[in-house]
Amino acid sequence: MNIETIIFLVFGITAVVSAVLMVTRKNPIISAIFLILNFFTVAVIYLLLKAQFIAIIQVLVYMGAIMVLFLFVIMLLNLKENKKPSEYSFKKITAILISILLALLLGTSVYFGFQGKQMNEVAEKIGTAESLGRTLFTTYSFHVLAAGMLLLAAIVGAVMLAKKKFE
Amino acid sequence: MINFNDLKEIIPLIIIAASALISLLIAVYSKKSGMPVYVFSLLAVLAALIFTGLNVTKDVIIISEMLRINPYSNAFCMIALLSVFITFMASKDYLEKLGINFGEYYSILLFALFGMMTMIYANDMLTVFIGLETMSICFYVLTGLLRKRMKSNESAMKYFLLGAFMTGFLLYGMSLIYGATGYTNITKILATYTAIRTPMFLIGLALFMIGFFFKIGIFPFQMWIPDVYEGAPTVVSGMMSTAGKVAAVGTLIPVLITLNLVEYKMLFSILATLTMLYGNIVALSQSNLKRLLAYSSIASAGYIMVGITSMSDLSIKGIAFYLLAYVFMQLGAFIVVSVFENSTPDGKDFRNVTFDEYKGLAKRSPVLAIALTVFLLSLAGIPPFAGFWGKYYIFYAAIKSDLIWLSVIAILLSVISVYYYLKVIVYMWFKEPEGETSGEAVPVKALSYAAIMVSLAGTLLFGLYPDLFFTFFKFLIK
Amino acid sequence: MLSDFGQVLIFMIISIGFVAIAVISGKIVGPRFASKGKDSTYECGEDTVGDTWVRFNFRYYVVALIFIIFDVEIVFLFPWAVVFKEMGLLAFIEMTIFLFILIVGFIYAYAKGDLYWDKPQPIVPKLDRQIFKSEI
Repeated sequence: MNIETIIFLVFGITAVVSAVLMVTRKNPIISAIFLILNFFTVAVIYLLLKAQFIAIIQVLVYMGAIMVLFLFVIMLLNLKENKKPSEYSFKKITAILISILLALLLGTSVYFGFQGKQMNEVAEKIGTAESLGRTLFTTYSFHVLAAGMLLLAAIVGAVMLAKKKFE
Repeated sequence: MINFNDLKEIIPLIIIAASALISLLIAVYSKKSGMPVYVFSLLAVLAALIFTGLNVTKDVIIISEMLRINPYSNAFCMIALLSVFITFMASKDYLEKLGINFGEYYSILLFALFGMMTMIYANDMLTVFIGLETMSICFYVLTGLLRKRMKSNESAMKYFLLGAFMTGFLLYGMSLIYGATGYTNITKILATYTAIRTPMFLIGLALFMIGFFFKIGIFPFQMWIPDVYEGAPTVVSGMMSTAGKVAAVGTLIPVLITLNLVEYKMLFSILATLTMLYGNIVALSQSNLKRLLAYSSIASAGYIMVGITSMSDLSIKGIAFYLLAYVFMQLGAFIVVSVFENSTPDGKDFRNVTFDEYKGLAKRSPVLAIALTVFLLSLAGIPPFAGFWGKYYIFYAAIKSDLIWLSVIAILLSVISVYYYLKVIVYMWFKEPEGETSGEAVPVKALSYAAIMVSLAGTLLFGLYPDLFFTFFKFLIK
Repeated sequence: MLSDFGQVLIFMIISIGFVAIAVISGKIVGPRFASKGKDSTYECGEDTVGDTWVRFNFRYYVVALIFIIFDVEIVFLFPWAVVFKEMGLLAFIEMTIFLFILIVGFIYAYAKGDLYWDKPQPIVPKLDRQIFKSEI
């Protein structure tokens, strides 16, 4: 077992555990903090996949900006801690079973799809900001502009719905 | 790489994008009245429609193979543009009536249109994703536009959460397909597909389709439709159920037909049957016209699914025609509902959307009643109207590809659907009006009137001369 | 062999370990005598009032929303800046259009007054008594 496998195992297991903890916690703030941990571990897994730029963006945008928004919403809603004991209904158990099944299905398909394959030379360099910039502004130039439109639509929509009243 | 020649091919897309930006600026600086932005966006959509119509036979793959401009995509694009155009015509009066006539509404609608066109023209999964997201985000916003109404807020929230969840499925599917084939380009994936029917690819494809089935409203993913269409502003529901469906179907169908998944025909037919069953049976017990139209939209998704199941060029032709007819009749019905609809005194709920309030509409406003009757009969598939030919072509394609039992079920369920459409018609024509506003005519403004007339004309024109469509889109017949 | 990020990882492990050792050793070694006064929140000698869950002003949320979208813009700006020299004019034009699209959003938010912060209106005490006025 080399060092990368060890790092992957540590962070992979942390990612799964923190995701489960995030879903099961009663207090939304604690959930949010587990989500931060989850984002971080996922960022490390991106790094292991040689996707450095995405890893940095994961930390900057998700752990930074999006978590701020999450916490804002939680504070805005003014939730009180829910002290009701958790109930195990039929719905919940079915949901858990289905999600485990889905996870198994996806996991096995990905595992057998990539089994024995190695990352090639090109793929190792593709995650840097330089190569990303090069493809983004040549091959994917249309997508950059379309993404601009998407972001603009999101700004307008958010501002429109969030305003207290229209003049 | 974008070069100048490529830009010439996507003029309609550029018109829509630019007019979305400009209309936003106009909306900001013409504070109170929505008029300038309204006229501007109406003209922009019309211009885009004309440009697409002029270049409808183009067949090119441009911008690093990211966009595919061909007759199929042009046809679907024109249907979507037409739907948005009619929606625009009807929107102004409706929004003014409810006091939400903001200029931004029109720019958001243009953004949604940009998303739809990007999606239909897409030849790359990333393009599909960006287009779909642009469209969906605009739809979430438009659904929640009536912020005073609890139902509108609730439906926007439901739509947003489910939509975001389903986008996750779609994206995961795309990444699995990319993992299995090594391409995001749809043409290349389709070219290599026969060589790599791996489980990873198939699961990826299934997740990809789930994302689209959600947008179209195929059976296990249809639960959001009634709530969302009921809560959204009525013209927006009409637009979502027509243009949104056109965009999703237009993106998915060329892919599915080329893949030719004959071994999964059974699965598709079961989904089609269940969708039609659910839509038509649950619609029987509705008493709210908006919900009824929502269930009828699920039923139509089922008919489209019958077309998808037959997987031939004939079925593309049928689906395209059905969608065109569907734009006229479904949107027309929603516009009539929007004209009649009103808000309760406190502005927190809808009024005039249940069947009881439609009693005696024929006496109050005969024109509205005639229009609605035509739309509903067309939706039911009664012969002289466009809806009949749409169903006819789809079922014909199904029979041609040995799906006789499926077409028999579809026809039987269409017959059942006549019952609930007729129920509304009976309420309008053969019952006495009730309530305090019983005798008065329903006030109709000129623009909504024009929108209804356009839909009515379309329903009748394509009902009497279905060949018109195929003369224009000659290429759809091979 | 360690990559550059491997060094970052080692740095991280050491820093986490450093903090962890300090905290844990403090817990183990330090003497602890719990009492009621010691556990209570200290706020300048006053007893605390109300909940720690304070409801935020809604306006922060709108600002945060707009911030996120411009934060996502950085995702596109950064790779562009890295390769700007070799890409030449086309990339520059593209980025100009991209920025223009987003600036329209900024103009929209600005013109709609979402970035405008309502300032508190100080209540200026008014005197109705005529005596002082006439004296002035």
